[in-house]
This record gives sequence, structure tokens and C-alpha cells, in this order.
Amino acid sequence: MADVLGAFEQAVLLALVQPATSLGKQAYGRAILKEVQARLHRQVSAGSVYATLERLETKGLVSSRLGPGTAVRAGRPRRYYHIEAAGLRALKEAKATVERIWAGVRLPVRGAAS
Amino acid sequence: MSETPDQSGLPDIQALPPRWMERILRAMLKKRDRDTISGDLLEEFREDIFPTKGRIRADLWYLRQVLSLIEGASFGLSLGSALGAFTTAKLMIAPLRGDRPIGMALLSGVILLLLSLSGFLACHRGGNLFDAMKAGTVAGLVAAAVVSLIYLVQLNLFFNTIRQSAGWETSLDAFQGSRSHNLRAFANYYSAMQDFIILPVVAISGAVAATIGGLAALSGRRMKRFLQS
Repeated sequence: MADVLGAFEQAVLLALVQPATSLGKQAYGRAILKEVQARLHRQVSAGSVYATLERLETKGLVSSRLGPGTAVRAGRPRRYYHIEAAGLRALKEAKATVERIWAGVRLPVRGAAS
Repeated sequence: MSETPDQSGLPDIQALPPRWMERILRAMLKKRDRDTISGDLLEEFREDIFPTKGRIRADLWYLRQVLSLIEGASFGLSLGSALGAFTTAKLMIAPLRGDRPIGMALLSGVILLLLSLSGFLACHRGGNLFDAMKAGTVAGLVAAAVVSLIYLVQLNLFFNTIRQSAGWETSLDAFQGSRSHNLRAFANYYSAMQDFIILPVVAISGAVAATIGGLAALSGRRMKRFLQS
């Protein structure tokens, strides 16, 4: 079985699958960063998002292409990301894993300490 | 270049992050990411950060992003801060006690182990030995720079205590051999001069330790593949 995705990897992939913000729908680096921050409700460093995108691309879960730049970014190109079929499968697997782990557990959980 | 944002909160297309920070960022990024990532940061800087936060906070934001993007920089910053905190605590608790050789050897070993860990992690993420070496060099350099900076602060705040501590003889000999008349000024100069030797030595040690860590990561990966096949 392939490695199960970590929570941050899932947030990045979900930002590509179902962006909640209008900027997020553009799916380039900065847009994904904003989308992940909105999804996780916290500030996220640019480095962690780009490192995750690179790792996911190496694994073949996402692909990327270059697009033209704009004046506000001094004409520098944007890198647009797209989730691959393997990425969707990995997301489904991650969700199924969490559901299997939590199956039958009733909340609130009673620990040994209580 | 704009120095102050207007109050409208609208994008400021003229605003620029500090040039030296951008140069460091572009030098440390892979060729593939150089324009795209620096473009993303510039876009965010101009559209959101500078208009809402102002020059100083916007520059600090940019610095944080640069540190997060340079492999090893955050690691080095944490390591340097921890070592700085350790030396400050030692100065407070036992200011006159000299460093024991065994303690120094143990501390050096732990530092090298941590630097090799930075290489291990970089190689584990990127799968590239060069990434590991680069991360170790940066981590070592940043950690040494932070420690040196903290030492300079300690030196000036606790000068009278430090000058009585063991191990100060070398500096005193150098002072007596110099034409300087101000011991404090000379101590600052002497410390800065030593950094020219210490910083490259730590950077090279970091590179070597991180390469070993990187090799361990690659071996681990091959072993895992072998066991899976």
C-alpha cells in the first residue's frame, strides 16, 4: 500500500479539488497558499506549501504548467497546478483510512484517566 | 519605490521587498522555481501585505517567507537560538566557570548530529544529496551567525563579568599585543574577526555532517525499496 497522505498534504490536494475562495480557483502557488490557510484557519508559511507541492508532484499526484505573468508580479510566470487521477485516489484512500480508524468510536471518548 | 502604503488598501505596484532579501531568495531557489515563487511572493507583497501592514511589517513578513523557503535556514535559526539561550543561561548561572573539554566535545557532537539531521530531512524530502549539503551549509551558517550575534550582545551587556571568566586570556593577550586602548571596543573587534574563521568552518562542518545525513536517508530509502520488492 502506498503511504497515506499527511493532513497538510490532504489540505493542499483539497485546495486543488474544491477551492472555496475565488483566488483559490486559479490554482497557482499563491492561490493554493491562501486556500490552504483558509482551510486550516491559520497562517501557513510559503515554504511548507511549495515543499508539499514539489513532493506531491514527485509522487505523480499533481502536475504543473507555466502560465504568463502579470504586471503586479513584474511579469514573472505563474506555475499552475492540477490534481492527477492518482492524487484523487490518494485523497479517497486517506479519507477511507480516517473513517476506518474512527469506525465505532463514540464521542466523547472516555480515556483511562477519567 | 514606495516607502509608505496609501490608506486605500489597494495594491501598490511600485512596492518592492528589500532587494538583498530577494537576491538571497532567488540565489537559493532551484532554477525551476526562481521566477514563479519569487513572483508569487512579490504579488502577495504588493497586493495584500504592503498595503495593509506597512513597510516594516511587510519586510518582516517577506523575511519570514524567505527563511521558510531556504532549506536549512529555519533549522539553523532554531539551533542558533537554542545555543544562544544555553550560553546566556550559563552566563547567568555560572559566569566564571570555564568550558570543560568533555562538555564541549559532547555539545559539538550534538550540534553535528543535529546538522546531519537537517541533511537527512532535506534528502528525505527532495531525494537529492546536493539538497542535503546545501541545507547543512545554510543551517550551520545561520546557527553560527545567530550565536555570534547573541555573543556580541552578551559581551556588551555583561562585559565586566565576561572579562573575568576563564578563557578570556587569549583575548587579553591579543589586546595587549594590539595598539588599541579600549578593551571593550577591541573585544568586539576581536570577536567579529574570529567570526571570519568560525562561520566558514561551521558552514563546512554543516555541509559534511548534512551530507552524511543525506547518505543515511538515501540508504534508508534504498533499503525500504529492497524490502518492498
